[in-house]
Amino acid sequence: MGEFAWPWYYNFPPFFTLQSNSEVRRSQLQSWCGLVLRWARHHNISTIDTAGANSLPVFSNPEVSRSLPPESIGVVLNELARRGNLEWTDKSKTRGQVLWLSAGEWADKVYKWAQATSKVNTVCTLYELTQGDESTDQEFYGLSDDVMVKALRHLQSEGKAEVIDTGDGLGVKFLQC
Amino acid sequence: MDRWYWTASTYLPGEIAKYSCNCKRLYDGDNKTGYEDGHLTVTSIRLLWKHSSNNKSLGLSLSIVVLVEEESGGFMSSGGKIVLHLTSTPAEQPSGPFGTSPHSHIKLGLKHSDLSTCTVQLRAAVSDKVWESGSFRNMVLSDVSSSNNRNKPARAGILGIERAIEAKQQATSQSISVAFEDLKQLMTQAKAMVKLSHSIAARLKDQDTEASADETTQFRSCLLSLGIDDPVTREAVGSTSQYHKKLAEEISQTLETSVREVGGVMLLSEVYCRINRARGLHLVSPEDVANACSIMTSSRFPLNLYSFESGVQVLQLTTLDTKTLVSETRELLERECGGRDGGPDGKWKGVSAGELGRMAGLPLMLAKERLLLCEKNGAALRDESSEGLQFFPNYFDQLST
Repeated sequence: MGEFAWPWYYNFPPFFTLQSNSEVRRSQLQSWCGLVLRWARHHNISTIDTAGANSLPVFSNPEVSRSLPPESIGVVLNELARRGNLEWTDKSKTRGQVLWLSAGEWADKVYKWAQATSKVNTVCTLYELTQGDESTDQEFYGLSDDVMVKALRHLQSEGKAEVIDTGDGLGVKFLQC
Repeated sequence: MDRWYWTASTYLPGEIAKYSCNCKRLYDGDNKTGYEDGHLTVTSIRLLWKHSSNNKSLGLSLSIVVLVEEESGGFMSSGGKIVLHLTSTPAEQPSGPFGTSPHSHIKLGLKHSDLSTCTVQLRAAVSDKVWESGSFRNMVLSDVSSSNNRNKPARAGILGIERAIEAKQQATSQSISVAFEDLKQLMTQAKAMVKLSHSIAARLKDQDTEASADETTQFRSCLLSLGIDDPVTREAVGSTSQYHKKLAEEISQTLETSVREVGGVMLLSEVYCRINRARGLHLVSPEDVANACSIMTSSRFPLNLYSFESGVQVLQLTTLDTKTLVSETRELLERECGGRDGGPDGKWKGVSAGELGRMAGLPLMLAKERLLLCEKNGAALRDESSEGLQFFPNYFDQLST
């Protein structure tokens, strides 16, 4: 795994102060979310603790001696949750599961793969999707089951798939649409 | 003895008491006089003799003393005498207790214990000739002449006291009216000055507008903001609201040029100072200025009152363009910050309100408000850190997600 390439704005001091101008703030938060997700994906980090978040390298840059204040970290994490890239695993929001891609985005990728490999109208098991031989080159290869299930449920809600309980695990039937 | 004159028992300005002792008796020539058991004081310029029963003293100017001699009494006597040889009476001298005297010397009867010290001090004072220093001579003379005037009509008894009081009152009221006369003259002269400055300003205005040297420009601005011919006063206008209206007009007319020169925005505190400087003697209160400015909100006035969110109040040109202001400030920020790619070391440098104030010649408060304005318009980014609040140009506008 190579060194993570920090974007230019990671060294731009005002990036670490949440802006008060709403328009600027929106684009700033967008950049933050993108940075956190890319960083988490690069380092294969799937959960973030709010308590220890300020010690994560992504939130502080000693080179320019700036770090994102804890309350701003909270804002970024909430924004991630709002976009569906983070799911709180407890009600008090102390720990969150990072979804590099939201359930919908995963769903798209899975459905595209299904179309490409002519899996439409056939039934696949979860194992086949995340561990199978045919998906080794896919981004969702090795994805945890609960994230995959979320993606499939999303597909189901769009009418593109049907989740089936096969008894010894879940399966999915991709539908033509 | 005719050289003694009546004088007040106080010292003249600059006069220094050298020595004082009891004096048993004064002698006219070798003859005893009735002036006995008094108190003698040697000062740097005079000899003063005072009896405890009398408010006034007898004075003798040391400038007429030629020689000081010591004359000790016989071995039976308890005291001695100092002999003072004198020149003739000076021309300007107040009246004394003696009209004429055939003798050109006087004697002071003193105790033995005082005799030698007093002689030494007297001789020192006579040889020092302090009264000859130019400034002192005038002072002595003027005092002598004034005491001369005062003393002539003075009589003993209640009438004398009453007259003295009356004279004093007259003198006081006279000096007061003289003082006010001075003030009136100052005011008329100030008016003339203002007129003069206006004529110079008008002449400068008539000349070609492309001022070459900074000095000319500065001189012109000084003159233009120097004075108001006919300041609005509360007395002249009558009702308070009308007064404020007039004052508002006056402020906007007088300060428009100045506000334009300082960049279109001026703090209310500075407005207060400038308008009072222009008015000269008819000063206005801060409250009146604030009230007058609060009317200045319509486009009828060239200047408008503007309150920042922080509560800071300013007068700004009605025509002031926020957009240009913001873009100018952003350009400055970009210059300072090092451009999109940062400075030579690849880092960006922020600008604090203080730095902007120094660079743009703005008061600190205005500099901060200007940065906040830029932030509000999306032209600047804030950076809060342990180094304080700094601002950067908004490079987020090119953020890629």
